[in-house]
Amino acid sequence: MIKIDHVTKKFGDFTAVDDLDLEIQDGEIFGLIGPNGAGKSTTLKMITGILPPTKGDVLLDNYSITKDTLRAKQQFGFVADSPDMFLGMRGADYLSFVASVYKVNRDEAQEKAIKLAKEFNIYDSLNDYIANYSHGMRQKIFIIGALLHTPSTWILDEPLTGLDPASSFKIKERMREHAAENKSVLFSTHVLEVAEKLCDRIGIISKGKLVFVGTLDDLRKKSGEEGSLEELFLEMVK
Amino acid sequence: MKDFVLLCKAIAGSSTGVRIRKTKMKKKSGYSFFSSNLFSQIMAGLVISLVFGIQFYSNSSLFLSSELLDFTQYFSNATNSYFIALFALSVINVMNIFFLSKNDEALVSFPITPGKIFLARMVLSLGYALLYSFIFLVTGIIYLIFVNGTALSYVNLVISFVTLPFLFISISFIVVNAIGLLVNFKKHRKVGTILTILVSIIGFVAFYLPTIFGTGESAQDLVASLEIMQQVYSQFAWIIYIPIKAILLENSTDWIYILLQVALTAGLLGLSYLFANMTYINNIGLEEGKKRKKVSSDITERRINRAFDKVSKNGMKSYVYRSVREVIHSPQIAMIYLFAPVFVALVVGTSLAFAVPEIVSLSTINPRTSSSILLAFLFGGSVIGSMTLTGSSIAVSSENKNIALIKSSPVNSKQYIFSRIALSTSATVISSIILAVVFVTMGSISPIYIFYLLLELIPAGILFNYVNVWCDLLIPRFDWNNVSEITNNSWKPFFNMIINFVSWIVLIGISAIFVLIPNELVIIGPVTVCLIYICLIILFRYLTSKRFNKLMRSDISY
Repeated sequence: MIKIDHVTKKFGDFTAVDDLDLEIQDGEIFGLIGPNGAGKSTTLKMITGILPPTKGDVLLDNYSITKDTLRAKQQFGFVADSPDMFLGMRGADYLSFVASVYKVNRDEAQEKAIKLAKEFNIYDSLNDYIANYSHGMRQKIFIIGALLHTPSTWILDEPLTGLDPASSFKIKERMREHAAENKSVLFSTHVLEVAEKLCDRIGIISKGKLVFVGTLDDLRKKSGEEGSLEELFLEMVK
Repeated sequence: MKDFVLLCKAIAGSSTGVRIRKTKMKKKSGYSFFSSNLFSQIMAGLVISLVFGIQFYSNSSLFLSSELLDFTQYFSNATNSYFIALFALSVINVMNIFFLSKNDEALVSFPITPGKIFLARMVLSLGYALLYSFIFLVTGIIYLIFVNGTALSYVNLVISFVTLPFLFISISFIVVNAIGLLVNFKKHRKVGTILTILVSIIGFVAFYLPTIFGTGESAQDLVASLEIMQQVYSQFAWIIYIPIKAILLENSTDWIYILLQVALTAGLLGLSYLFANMTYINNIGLEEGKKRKKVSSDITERRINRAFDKVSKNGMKSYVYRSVREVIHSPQIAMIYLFAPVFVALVVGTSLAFAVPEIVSLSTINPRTSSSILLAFLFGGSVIGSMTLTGSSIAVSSENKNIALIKSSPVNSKQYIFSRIALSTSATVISSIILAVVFVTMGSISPIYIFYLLLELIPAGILFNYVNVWCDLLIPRFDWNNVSEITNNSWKPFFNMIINFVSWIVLIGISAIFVLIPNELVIIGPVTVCLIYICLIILFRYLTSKRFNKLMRSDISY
């Protein structure tokens, strides 16, 4: 469960996120959508402790990210938007490093890593350097890393960018499975169709403000008209 | 022409990095000419030239007064050392600029001919080589002053100063290209690392050979040690035969050597271009076409098992292993990690040697020589020691985009910081032990002094590493794309150089405590200094941890 409690983020005079108040329940897939520069990534960065909020707090399974930081960080797995990281490590070494950071038992970590690597079709590349991976392969190794400690919350920043259709399908399936286990999934995306088909609820963020939270039906009711999510979204962020 | 200059700038900005920013940007981003890598490279080149110039001058005057050896031979040997060092530097530069650059694929998509890209990279390589060629120029001027060189000799010296870098870069290009034909440096970075380390060792030994052998209690001792050096170098004298002959002008017909040198340089440059046409120019931007080898499932499983063996209860093994991997992945960082600890040990050890006459008999050598050696170590130590700081700063600033995942993970500050300094600390400790053994062997002194030396050297190494990480944590930067940019474009090199220099001076001051203590109580000195170091280690451990936690809660992202 994620509770975002009236969070504001300012960079000097610029307000990137303005008084965002939101709760994501267990078993829910929540999609954060919005135009470029709306504040989606900043919001995810505050939730994951990468950026401190100027005001407000974020609770992950009731652990405060600002006060009980390490415990709060144990609760989620995060997939960043850019997979160009840890390039000097082999895939298997990276996963072993993640297992150490999250204090996962050695055998359990290895078993899970192998299972996920086979599932995402990168098992044969585990001993290759991440620098030699394609964009999609890098994305996959970080997704596996984020799932290694079986987090109760899965947070993904633009997770489907650069993935082939099969892997994209696999991740969406994983998200559904994760939610089915009564765990929450929060992700940001630009692909409205994905949000439309996958999310239980969506949040539309524009100029740092959360302008809508609810289901697609709620959105249609609110705008009082029929139409695709794309049309409604464009109307909302005008 | 303007286009070509812009191309050179673009390549410079993204390879080993000459980055000059306009001063008006200073307020916004902290960049300026004085914080650029170009400035620190110029400073390093000038300081090294000055230091070796002083040392050469000091040794030469002693040498001439002894009248025991051929002074010209001594000059030839000294320049031989510098040439080998210059060659080593050229190999490293060529490899980085030509073979490890990241922007070839982007550049070939522009309407630029590959030949132009090759030339732009060549210009950059030559720029670096010319900078370090100052060492030869300074040494040459001193030599000509001593032998009352003619005007023509000076002209020839300047011609040699300009042409030699071309010569070294051409040879380096051919050598690196030949290796590059067998292996793709970008894909097999270990090969680049090994090559860098090998040529660095050769360059380092050559560079310090005159210093190492230029010691002795008297002029006769100095000459005797220089004789050893001469014997070693007489094997390689042919390397600089032509430029030396051109400068010496012993016979009226010797000016022909300068023509020979220019012709040789032009020939090698031409050969480089031909070689480049066969290999580099036609392959710019092309990755190795070989298919990935199919590894059997047994081997894959075994390797995965090995990777997960690093998962321990406290995770430290995995943390440290991560640092090791990064070092191997980057030739520049590997070089820093290899040499910086050696310098820390060398500078601390030498300062001790001079401060405590009982420890090493080196301290009783001729004052003029000893002061020049000490100066050489001090300056050399501050320049290369600054690389330690930048090297350790790789610890945090090199995280680049990794910082997002590090900040979002439950990373323990103590584990993280220790893993970052563990490697350089172990290297320092090993260097210290080797140095202590060398001193004991050289000085024929009581083994108890090994204990005294290590009592200072090991805590000093640990302390410096903590200070380095703390320095980096003061203003970490994560907005560069690769480790080369961090090491080269950081504002730190110059600042670090000063910090290092001051640190060494303070260190020598502390070591001087020994001198004030009577011989029978000499143990008090090392113990006192060791205790001071331990207190400082505790202090900086606390400060580093505090800064790291602050970073984790800061607005700094990527």
